[in-house]
Amino acid sequence: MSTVSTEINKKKYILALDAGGTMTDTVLVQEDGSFKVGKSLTNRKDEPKSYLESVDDAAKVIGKNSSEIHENTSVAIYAGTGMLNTLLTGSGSEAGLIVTKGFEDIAIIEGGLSYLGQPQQDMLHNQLHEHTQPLMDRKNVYGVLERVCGGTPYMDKHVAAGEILIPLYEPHVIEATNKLLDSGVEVIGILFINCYINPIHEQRAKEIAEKVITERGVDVPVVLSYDTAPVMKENNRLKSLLLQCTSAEHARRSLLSVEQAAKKDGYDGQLLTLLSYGGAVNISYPRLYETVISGPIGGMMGGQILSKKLDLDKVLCCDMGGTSFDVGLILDQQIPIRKDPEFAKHRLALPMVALDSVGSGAGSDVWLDKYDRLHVGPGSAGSDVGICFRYDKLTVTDVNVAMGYVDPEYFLGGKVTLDRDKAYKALEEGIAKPLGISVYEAGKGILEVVNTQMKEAAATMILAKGYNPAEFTVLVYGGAGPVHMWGFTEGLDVADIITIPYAAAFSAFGAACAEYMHRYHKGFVTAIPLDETEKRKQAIGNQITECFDELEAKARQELADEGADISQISFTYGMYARYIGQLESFDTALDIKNSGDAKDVDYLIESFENMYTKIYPEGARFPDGGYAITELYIKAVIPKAMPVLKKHTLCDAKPNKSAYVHSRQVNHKGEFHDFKVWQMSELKAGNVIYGPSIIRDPMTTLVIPPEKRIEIDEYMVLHYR
Amino acid sequence: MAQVKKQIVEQLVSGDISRDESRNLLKMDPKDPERFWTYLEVLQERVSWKDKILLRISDHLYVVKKEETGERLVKCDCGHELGDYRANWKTSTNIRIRETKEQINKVYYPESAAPEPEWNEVREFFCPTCSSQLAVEVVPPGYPLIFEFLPDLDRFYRDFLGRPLDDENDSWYENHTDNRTGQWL
Amino acid sequence: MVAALKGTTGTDSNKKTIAYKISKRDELTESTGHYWGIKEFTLKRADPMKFERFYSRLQSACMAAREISRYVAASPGGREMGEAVWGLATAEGDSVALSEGFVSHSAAFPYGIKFMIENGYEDNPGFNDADVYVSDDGFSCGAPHPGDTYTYVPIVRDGQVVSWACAVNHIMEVGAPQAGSWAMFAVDTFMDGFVCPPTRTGENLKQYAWWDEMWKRRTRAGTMNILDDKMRLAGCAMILKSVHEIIDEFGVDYYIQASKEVIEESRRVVKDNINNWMVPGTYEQSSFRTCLYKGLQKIWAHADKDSLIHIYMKSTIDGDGRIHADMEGSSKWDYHAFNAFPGGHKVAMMMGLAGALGYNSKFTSGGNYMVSSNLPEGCIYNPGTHVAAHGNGWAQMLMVTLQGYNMLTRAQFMRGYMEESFAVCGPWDAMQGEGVLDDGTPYGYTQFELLGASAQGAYAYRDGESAVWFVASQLCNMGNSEEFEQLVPPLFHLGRKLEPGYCGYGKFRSGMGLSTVQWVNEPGQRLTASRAGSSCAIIPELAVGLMGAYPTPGATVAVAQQTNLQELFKKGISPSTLNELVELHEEGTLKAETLKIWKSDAQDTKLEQDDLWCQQAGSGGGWGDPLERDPALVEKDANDGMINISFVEEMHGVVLIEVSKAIYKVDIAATQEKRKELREQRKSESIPFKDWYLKHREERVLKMDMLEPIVEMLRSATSFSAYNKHYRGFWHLPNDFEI
Repeated sequence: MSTVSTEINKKKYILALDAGGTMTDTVLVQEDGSFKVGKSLTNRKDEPKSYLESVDDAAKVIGKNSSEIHENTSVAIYAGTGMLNTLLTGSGSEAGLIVTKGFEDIAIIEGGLSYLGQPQQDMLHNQLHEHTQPLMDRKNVYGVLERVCGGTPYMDKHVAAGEILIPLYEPHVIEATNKLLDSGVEVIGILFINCYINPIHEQRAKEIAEKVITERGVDVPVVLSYDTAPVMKENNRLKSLLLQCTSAEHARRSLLSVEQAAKKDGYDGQLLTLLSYGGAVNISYPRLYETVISGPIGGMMGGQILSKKLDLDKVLCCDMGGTSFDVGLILDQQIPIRKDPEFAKHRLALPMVALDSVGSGAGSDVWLDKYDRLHVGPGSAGSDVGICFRYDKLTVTDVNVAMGYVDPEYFLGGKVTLDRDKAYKALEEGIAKPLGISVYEAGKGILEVVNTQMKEAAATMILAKGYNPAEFTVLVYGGAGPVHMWGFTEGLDVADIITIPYAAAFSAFGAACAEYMHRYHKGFVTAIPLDETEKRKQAIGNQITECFDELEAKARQELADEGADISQISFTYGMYARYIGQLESFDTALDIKNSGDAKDVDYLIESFENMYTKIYPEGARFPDGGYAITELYIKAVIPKAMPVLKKHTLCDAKPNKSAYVHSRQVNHKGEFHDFKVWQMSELKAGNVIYGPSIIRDPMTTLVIPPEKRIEIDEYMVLHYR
Repeated sequence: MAQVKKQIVEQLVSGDISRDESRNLLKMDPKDPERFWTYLEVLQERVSWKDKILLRISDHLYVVKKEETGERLVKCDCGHELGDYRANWKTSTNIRIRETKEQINKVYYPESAAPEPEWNEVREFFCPTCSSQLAVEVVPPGYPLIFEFLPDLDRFYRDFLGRPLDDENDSWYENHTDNRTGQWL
Repeated sequence: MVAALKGTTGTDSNKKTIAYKISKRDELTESTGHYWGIKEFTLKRADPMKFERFYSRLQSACMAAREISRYVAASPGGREMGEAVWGLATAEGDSVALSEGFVSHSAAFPYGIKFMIENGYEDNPGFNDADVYVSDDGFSCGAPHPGDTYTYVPIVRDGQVVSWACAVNHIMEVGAPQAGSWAMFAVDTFMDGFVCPPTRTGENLKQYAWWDEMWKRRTRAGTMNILDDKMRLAGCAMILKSVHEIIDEFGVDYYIQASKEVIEESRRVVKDNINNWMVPGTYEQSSFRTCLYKGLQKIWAHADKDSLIHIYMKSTIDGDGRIHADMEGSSKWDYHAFNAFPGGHKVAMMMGLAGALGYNSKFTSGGNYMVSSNLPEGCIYNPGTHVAAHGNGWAQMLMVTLQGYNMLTRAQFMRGYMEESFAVCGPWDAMQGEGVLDDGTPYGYTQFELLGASAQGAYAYRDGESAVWFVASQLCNMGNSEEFEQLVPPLFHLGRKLEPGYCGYGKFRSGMGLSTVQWVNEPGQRLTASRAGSSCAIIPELAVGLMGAYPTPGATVAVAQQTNLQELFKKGISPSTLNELVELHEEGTLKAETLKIWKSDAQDTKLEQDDLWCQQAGSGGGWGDPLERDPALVEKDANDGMINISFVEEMHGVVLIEVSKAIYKVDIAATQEKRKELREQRKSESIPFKDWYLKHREERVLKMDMLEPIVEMLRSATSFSAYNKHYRGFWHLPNDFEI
């Protein structure tokens, strides 16, 4: 059957799992869209095991076991760790590489990049600059003579883009393939300079290589950079190619094993996994390297669903977990993506959900250096929480415990008891005394610093896109999100601040919300001078339309191969454009119905100008030189089963007595207040909770300071006001 | 404050420290204040002679305190002494000059990258006893020796390390190189 | 000067003038040793958390400014290669927060500000909030060379300039007679290209219309330069906006005072670092740079000569942990492009030290107050005349950076912090020129790639890595050839590789340097190219190798003209590195009408169809005695195809046997033999220094028997009394002896 059924009712459940570094979260979505949460310890050696445990844990909540769930599951989505593992452990396939002659060292030079993933302190420390462990052995690289022209902004005044300058010297390809097979590579990648404009040499080289491979009766796949990431910048393209070559098949194997386990357990659909740019695909997807990072984006996709449900155009997602604080935007209910993200110290050519991270989370170390300067992170307690549990350093959570925000008796619903006195002492000895201030002043100050860092990251994310924060709704989630919400949103002049009862498992929930979606990018070169003739404009418009049609055809083909019902495809379009002379192109979403509408070049330019002036001051515009369009892309979406956010009838503002737990002394901003404590599960749509209050839940704590309140709407979304 | 194990310092000195260990040292902030003393301890153990090392000035050379005479000499780890540290120790070495294309091309590769004769001479300074190559200068002919470093030991031990030397004297921080070359004329 | 004089009197209205603030800062910093006389951190103590929050606001404003505005840029240099920086400076020009990028260039901010004040800008035209000023002139604003273009935006509150939003980036083309980013041939500053002192070029964060026209009119890459200009301004605009918000929150007084405390705090961190990491004493360092102008032209007789520039630093660290670089003995300024001014020298001095001594502090100008220099008037760093050309002062000033940085890593070696110790070298290299397409479209260009990354020198305990750092910036990045080929239409890479064996040799070696081969195809009506760079193979950047190793091999350009390339292509042959080109030529495979090898700066060369332009650059220095190299390392290099087998046998005394095709093993017995033999050779071929001294003095020095440029360099250097004493003292020259 097709994975991507649209009738939720045929099967009862949606399963979504997010396998993080330590925990594998399951969200089990039921018919009515409500859902239960399950957990297991991630087992990197045996993912099927932790998969089943986690599903079973969720099943128990509704008195079932995993196979009873699987038998009635419409879609199972799994964000695995296989890709990341192979990348970090270098346990990937032995890859061979054929490149344009003269570029044989590209894999070790990697454009000279040696500072990726470093904090500024390390960047400034030159002795810490070093290359990332190459993804392959330099010995397995061979050059073949060939050259293709990449074109210039001078367009037809010089050699045209894509023109063959030096024909492919085929004997080199044969020789290279043989040598690579001799050295026993498991896969061969091919990357030629400027192939993104004209792939003919790469494609021909593949034919030749495959001929040699067949003649030698071996089975070694040949992968082209053009098929992997047909975009400009050879260094980034190479990383994507090598990632696909070395890790994709490994990841596919581990996902297959999970799929088999699920099927054995009664599931009769295909396992889906998450793409780095959002969206789900099944595991026969050709460019599986695009799933390299998937965990953190789950929440973004959940945010997308929420933004649609609540009809919000501009949402800022804030995910505060144990080790980091991630922020991302959802604009017009779409998730913006980044084209050359940095990941595990590699810069890839890969569309990836645009997320910014600050390295401070609830588990981050808090310490003073010898100049009495306060530092938060980079060290982190991870699952050891802090001194109040089983870690040896003071953490942000310790501060929250010491101040009284977090109830030591009710951590993980009381499964774990925290030691508040230890936290208090550590805060006193480590921070308060050296600075000569009181413990609560110190705690207040630390939270101010942490919250400010996060607020800066959040604000920058919005301002960087040139938007006005006042138009944004801030969506807060992650285990520690609700604890700090009051702090990092303070003074942030935004439209609304919301969170959800299931904030801690929101990423897994998001995975369940993933669209079945593919993206296709293609490099494209055209210049549109100000005085461009109508005739030329028509020609350009036609070329663009053709290119979109080409991408659509590819999408239909691949989706069909994956067993999708392609009658259901819907496309959206975009381009990357710049002022002529600029080096960077800017993502410009096109509000057009079909590829034909792209014929209107003036509209394309107008769309570019609108996007640009949103980001930059008038003084940064430069239409004089005309415009260049450098890349086109489409998104192909197929409807799939989605969780439904159930609409509740609104009860009155006053919560049920059963919701009230007790009251507790909390030091907020240096003063003690009596905080009322409420039970999350007992609250109803329509309830209003006034601060000073705390809403507790086994997985998180929501802090409502004095003068503030929480209003619960009909979708059980909590509005912080 | 953090301490660095002696064995790590030994690995640094012998050059077989792992990349991870050296990275950890680079990331230490602040650095371990005791390092200098551990370093001296390690170095002292590696030499056969007993004179007290005051400062290591290159892979093979040390400024040492000679108890019997009270001198502060430059000493090679092989035991050869290169005289009072206040005069450029290069004046106490054996020297080999490379001045022809052929000679220079033996130490630079590829040829296209080799310094040009006439503009340069390559000066190699050897320890007269163990023949270790102690320094290389590539300079125009007629150029004076380069005195790589004249330490201000008294200030170093007093102000930087906080453990003053017992034989402090302003004259320890003087350049005596010309006096030495002067004796040869 | 009016403003300066007026400013020094402390009436209330004057206290708000920059002139007053500068004189007060200097007076207090000088007399107390603390920046602005700040002994106590009043605000930090009162509320440490607020203080940290304040700083992180400033810092993130600068970071965000770069992150967003760099995408406006036209050149890879500004956008991602780290050839740009944004900063927030105090009214006096001291940086309090900086973005990522070539941060040391911020050391010039105070020079530009001071120039404006000393020349009465404060009254005429006067500074309004959101005005825009630009300068790229070393003489007035301290730019290291005219390619480095500075933008200053005053931030005004309560009727006083409280700060400057500043930006610098290195532009692609400066409009000098010699096309490109660095005028390599310039007799005087009137050949440096488009150079302007601090100039008001716009207001309310918008440039005047005439300013864009200036770029179009006076440079060969108007579009790119305008876009870079817009990039700098866009970032400054963001900083200005943030600062006003920050002041709204914290108040003007807090803003001004806390900024000073931030700077003083970082000054103290740097001071402590010097005390904790270094050894007081005197460090002597020498470098040489050729300037071969003889026969280039027949117009300016006074510039028609070859010269050797002396870059001489005698640096001391005193008991208070202050670094003082005495440059007396460096060459006099002259009629060439390699002069510099004090601001540029300060940037060069801090280029290595700023990061190396300040990475663990809030990154500000604080550390600059721990480093001083003596630049006697008339020397190449302080010509004392505005006519001195400085089109490529940077080409020799980089040596100042290396000298200062090596002083630090040498000290760290002596202190036992060997992990930090490596042979610092940062040769930068680039290709530049101009062309005219078939249809008459002219363009100028600079090809930056080799500037973006070079090898690190050997460490005291391991080999250096290849293409891993950029001494000028933390953002090491060569860009992509797919980008550069778009900027320079007729140039196509046939090679962008490591050059095997091209490294500094020693017990540990540097990373391998890089080599690029660019093929000329469809040059249009005309294409010319020249090379701009710091290092030249003719004579190493640093005269001393570290601890018995050899100094870094320099950079070389090879140009093959009128070749049989098309035939070779048919046979699948093409050179991928400069050395391959030379070898193909020697064996007769590659035929060329001319093959010119430039070990100094390649001057403008006209390039035709199928010509080849090859560069070899970005190597590093070695560490330690080559005979002590672990044979296993030599074996690995051999099996990686990274060294020449017969060369290393003589260099390291390691004998390798080829066990199968291109697979080598160490022959242990033969290696022991060889090493013994080489040590014997050292004994037999060397003589006691004394004997050499007497002979050399007699035969070369007293007869001044050496190339004319060397003699002239000595004359130039000894025209400064201290070096005269030093030189005559070492060789014991009679007083009447004339150099």
